[in-house]
Amino acid sequence: MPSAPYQMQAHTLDCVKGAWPGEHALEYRARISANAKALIDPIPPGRVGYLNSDGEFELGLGTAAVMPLFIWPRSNDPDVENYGGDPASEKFTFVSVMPHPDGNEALFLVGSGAYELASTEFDSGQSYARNTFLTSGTSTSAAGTLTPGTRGTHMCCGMVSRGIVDNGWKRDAICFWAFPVFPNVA
Amino acid sequence: MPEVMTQEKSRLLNGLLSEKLRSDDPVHHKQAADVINEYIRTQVKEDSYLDKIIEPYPIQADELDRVIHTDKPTKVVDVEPESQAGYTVGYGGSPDRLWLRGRRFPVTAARLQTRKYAKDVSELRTWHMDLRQVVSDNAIRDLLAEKDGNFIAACNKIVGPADTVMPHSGTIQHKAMSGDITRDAIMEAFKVLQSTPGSHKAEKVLLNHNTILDLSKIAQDEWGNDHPGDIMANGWTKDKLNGADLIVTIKRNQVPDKNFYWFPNQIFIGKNFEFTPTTMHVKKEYFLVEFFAYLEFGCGIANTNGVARTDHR
Repeated sequence: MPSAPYQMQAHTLDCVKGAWPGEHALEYRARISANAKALIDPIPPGRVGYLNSDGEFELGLGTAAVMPLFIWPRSNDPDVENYGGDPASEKFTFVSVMPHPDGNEALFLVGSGAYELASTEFDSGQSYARNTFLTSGTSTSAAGTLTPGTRGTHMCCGMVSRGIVDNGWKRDAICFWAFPVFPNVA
Repeated sequence: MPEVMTQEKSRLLNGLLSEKLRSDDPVHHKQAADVINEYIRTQVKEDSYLDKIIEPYPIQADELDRVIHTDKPTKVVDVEPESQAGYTVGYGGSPDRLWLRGRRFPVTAARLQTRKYAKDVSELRTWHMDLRQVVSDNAIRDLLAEKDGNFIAACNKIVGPADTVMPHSGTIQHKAMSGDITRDAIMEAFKVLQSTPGSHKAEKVLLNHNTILDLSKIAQDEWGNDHPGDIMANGWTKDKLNGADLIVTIKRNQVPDKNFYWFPNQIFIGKNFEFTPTTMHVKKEYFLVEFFAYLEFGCGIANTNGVARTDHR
């Protein structure tokens, strides 16, 4: 089965309403952890995750109290990384200077920002009534995709606003207001 | 040579800049930005050692290559293919066929920017120090340090750990030299780069400003002339070592003491594309002025045999 080329509008995160982009927008820069890339590489825009103790982005939310972060670029976008192989183990590699040879920091929208987001990264097998809390699992290649969550149990990253919408490019996206709702943990 | 600023000149310049920033005329804002831009560009050329090793090429929009998966700036560069060795054949033998192929590599761009500095314009008038120097030190040098830091990280990735044979060259490209910096050690160090399959002669040597003093300590009997006496009187004045250009940096956190990085002519290394030159954005609203600088560049090293490093004791 041949694979179709990746198109820019296939996986998207959009700020439908609210303060982004702009100089006053609440955004964050962080490197992506090896754990996250081990789950899925490249990581598509619109997935959610959090910062680990090293300040790197991990995929998914689970049940720990963390600040949700939504990844804006694709993790291998050319302003994030330009990987040309590992010269320590391969021949005929090239090494990028810019972006940094180990990859630049990626850009994230912070879950406490004042905006309504639309992400193509959600579990299409679920139903999304308005006011449904959203969370995300932390394992498998689906980590970071949005799915209904239980307030108090899961780390929730927002609440469904318009439901499933067209992302503007004939792809389904879940539209929600971003804000963190923390689980009942100490 | 950078202009030497007297206190009086600095005061005059800051006064001029302050007046332009205090003006509501957008033309004056542009002039204020130009005052800073003019200086910044000079500093970039002088202070980035990457730009001295691979001269930046200001790439234009019509020179960029389009790719399907992204609209972020990309330039695809051809790499010279490696040729196969000839071989002996008996009379009547025919040559083996080899389909021509080659390598390419993409150079992609990203943006570096400083923090946005904000100030009340009236406070600017109370400064006697060289405002341009403040801007240069606090903002522009941050960009240059980041740019050079990326480059040296790429070099370290290519040469690998000390005394390790690298798969791409089949040679050691990062050699821990025994003993101090002597003439013998320097000449041995020159061999590291030219021992790679590319047989590159080192044309540029990167070292820090402490190491140049270690180089200055080479004894007179090793120089064979009065160079040590000249160094004692005037400091290191040579710009070459064994025919290679010396590039001396103050960034000791990137280029450690007694470490040398060896590079061939830039055509054997990679590409350094300037997508957007260092640009200062100045915005004035009421009595507040904000400014920050940014630049965009893309750079990659395609010939991994074109970098070597030696560490001395």
